[in-house]
Amino acid sequence: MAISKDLVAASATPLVLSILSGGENYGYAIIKRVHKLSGGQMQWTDGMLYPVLHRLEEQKLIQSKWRESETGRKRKYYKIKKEGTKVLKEQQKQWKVVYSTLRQLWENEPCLT
Amino acid sequence: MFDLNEKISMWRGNLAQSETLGSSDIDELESHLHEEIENLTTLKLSDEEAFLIATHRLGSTDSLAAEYEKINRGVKFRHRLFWIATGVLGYFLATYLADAFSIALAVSSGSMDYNTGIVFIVSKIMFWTIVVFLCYQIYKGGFDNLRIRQLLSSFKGKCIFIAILVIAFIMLYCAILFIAVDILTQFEITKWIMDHRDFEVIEVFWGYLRLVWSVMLPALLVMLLIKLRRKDLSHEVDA
Repeated sequence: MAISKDLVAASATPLVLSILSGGENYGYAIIKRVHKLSGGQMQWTDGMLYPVLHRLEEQKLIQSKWRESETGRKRKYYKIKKEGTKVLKEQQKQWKVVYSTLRQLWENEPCLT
Repeated sequence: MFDLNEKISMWRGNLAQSETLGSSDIDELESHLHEEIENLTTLKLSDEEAFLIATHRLGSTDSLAAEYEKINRGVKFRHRLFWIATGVLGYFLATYLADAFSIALAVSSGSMDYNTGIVFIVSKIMFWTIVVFLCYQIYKGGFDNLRIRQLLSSFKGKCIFIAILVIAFIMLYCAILFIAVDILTQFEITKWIMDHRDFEVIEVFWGYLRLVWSVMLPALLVMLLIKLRRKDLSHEVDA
């Protein structure tokens, strides 16, 4: 089962902010993390993550820095900012409301089969 | 034989053509591509297979360009401005070459004093050598924040930078003083009457303006090119 494009797009911001709230990270690792956590069901086209990261940076929710990795390659690391943590908390509340609403509906719904 | 580095630089070239991706964006995508290829080759895939899969996963050039266009509206404009400024600079260089040629002709035919001609040509050659050298550096990717930072991080670099600034300032100051004093004495502002002599004065004044213009405009264009380039390459690398 592949998650629809709209749902992937809508969840991109809370996903990225949540991962970055656990410490700074770079694009490739963020994609791999999402892939692993979703059991391979949330598949971004890899290149689409970067415009999301840049947009969040423009909104001053995260900040970036080029740094050399342990392998000697240059990587752009992203880090969450205070404002980003605030937005993440707000988004968590919103997603919880959506989730609990859907869950109640689905739990009370009579089984059709 | 499959050459991975060549394929990657071709892939970079395709992305660069889209105009909506800055070189910093392309660097970031390339870094991702390298990680993915490395990861795939550990799974016993060949370089060629890893490259094909990694580029496919990153997305097509068109779709990447379309995504980046949404966030990089300014980049396309800067890119075009960069080439317009380069074109204007090229035009100035062409007129300078024509000028130098006509001066050389005037000197050889004897209608211009030999020394004056040489001073003209040498000073112009020196100025344009600096301009062309700076342009070459810009195209090579110089003048980004990283290099300037590296230069400024050493004591010697700081000294050179300050020395250049001081010399530039003194030169500018002398030029302004020289022109201002000359104009003030020539114009005799208190006895301002328009007679045939004043027309000569205006001509001299116009000559100075053109001189300043011919030096300042290329210099401003070079500064514009550096500014446009630096924004494109705003990397900050902490070693």
